[in-house]
Amino acid sequence: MMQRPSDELLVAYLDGEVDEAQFAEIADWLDRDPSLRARLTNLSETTTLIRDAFEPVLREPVPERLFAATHAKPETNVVEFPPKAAAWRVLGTTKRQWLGMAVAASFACFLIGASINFGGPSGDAGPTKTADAKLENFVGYHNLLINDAYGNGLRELEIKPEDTDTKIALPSDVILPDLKPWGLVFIGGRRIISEGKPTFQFTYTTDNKDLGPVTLFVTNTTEPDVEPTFDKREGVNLLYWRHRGHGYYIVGGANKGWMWSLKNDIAYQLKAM
Amino acid sequence: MSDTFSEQLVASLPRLRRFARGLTGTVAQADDLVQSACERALTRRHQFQEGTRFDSWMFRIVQTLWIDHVRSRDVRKEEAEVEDDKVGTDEPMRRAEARLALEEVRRAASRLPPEQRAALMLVTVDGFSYKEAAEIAQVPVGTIMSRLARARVALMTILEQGGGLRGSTDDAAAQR
Repeated sequence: MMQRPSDELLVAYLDGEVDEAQFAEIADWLDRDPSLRARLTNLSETTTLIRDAFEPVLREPVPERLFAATHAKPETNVVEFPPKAAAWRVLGTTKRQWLGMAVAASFACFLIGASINFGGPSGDAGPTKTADAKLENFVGYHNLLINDAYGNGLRELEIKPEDTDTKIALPSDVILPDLKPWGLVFIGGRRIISEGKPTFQFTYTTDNKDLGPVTLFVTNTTEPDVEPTFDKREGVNLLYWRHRGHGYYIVGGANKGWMWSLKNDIAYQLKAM
Repeated sequence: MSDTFSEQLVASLPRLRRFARGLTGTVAQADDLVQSACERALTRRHQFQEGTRFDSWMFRIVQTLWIDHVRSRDVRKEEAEVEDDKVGTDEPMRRAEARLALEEVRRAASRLPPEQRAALMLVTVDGFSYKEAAEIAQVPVGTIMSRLARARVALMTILEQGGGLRGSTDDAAAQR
C-alpha cells in the first residue's frame, strides 16, 4: 500500500498521468481520507480556473503583424523598392562633407591591414553557438523585412520614414543613421527582441543592387567590445562589432568593401568607433 | 518555404498567443514573443522534422525564447521572492471575488516562477501530456511533474490568499 499521495501524485491523478495501479491506490486513499478529497477538489478547481482564464485568448483576433511574420520568403534576396524619402531622426549633412575622405582612408587601411577579421571568426571573439544563432536570426530578420516589402508588411513597421507614423521611440543613444549619401533610403524599422534584449532593426534599400538592400541592427549587450568582424550566413553578408554596450550588425548582399565603408559611416554617426 | 509550413504556422498562432500570454502576462510582450518565435521558425525551418508535431516544435521555440529572455533579465530571484511573499487576507468575500475574476487568475499565474508557469500552460491549459511537455521544455518528465504540482499548489495558495492582486514582476517591468 502506498503512503498518503503527495501533491505531485494528486496532480498527476487529475491529469490522467498515473498508471492503473497508482490510480487504484489513490482512489482508495481518497475514499478513506476526507482531507485528501478536499485537497484534490481544490487542486481540481485551479485546473478549471486556469483553463477558463486563458480560453478567451483563443477567440481574440490575431494581430496582422503576426500573420505577416508567418509569410516571409527568406530564400528570395533580390528586391527593388520604390524610393521613399527618409526624414526621420537623421543627422545633418554638414558632418558628411569630410566623411568621404575618412571613409576612403579607413577603407584603404582595411584593405592593407584589417582583413585579418574577414572571412571568418577571429581569435577570442570567435562565434559561439549562441552567436551563430544570433547571426542567423539577424539574417532571417533582414530577409523577412525585405521580403515583406513585396506585400503589405511595411504597414506593420513600428519605425517609418515619416515622423507621424512612428509607433515607438528610440533610446537616446540609438540614432537612425542617414545613409542617403550612399544612395540608401531608409524604408522602415522595428524593435525586436534578441537574446532577451531590445534590438532595433533599420532597413534601407537602393536601386544599386551591388549595395542594397541592407539592414542595420543595434542591440544592447553586456559583452565586451569586439573589433569589426565579417561573417556570412545563408548567402548573406554580415559585418558586426561591439562597442561600449551596443552590438552593431550590418546585414545585406553588399560585398566586403561596401560593408566596411558603410560600417565606418555608421560607426561615425552612432559614435560607435 | 512550403505552403504547408506557413499554413501550420498560421494555424498555430492562437494557441501560441495563449501560451505566450501565460508566460509573459501581457498582450504586447506575448505578441512580441510569438512574432520572434515565428521569425526564428522561418529561419530554422530546415530543422523541423517532417512527421513530428509542428505545434510541439513551435511551443518549444516560444518556451526557449522566453526562458532565454527571463534569464537575461535575471528576474528569477525577484519572482522567487514574490512566490514566498504572503499577501492578501483570508476574508471569504475577497477570496470569492478573486475566484470569479479571470483576470485575477491570470495575474496569479504570472506570479509563478517562469518554469512552473510554462509547465502549467503546456499541460493544464494546452493539454500536452507530461511526456510532450517534457520534450518541449527539454527537461525530464519528473521535472515537469514536480513543477506542475508546485505550480498548482502555489496557484491555489495565491488565490486563497486573495488572488494575484499585487500583479506580477513582469507587469511591473512592462510598465517601466
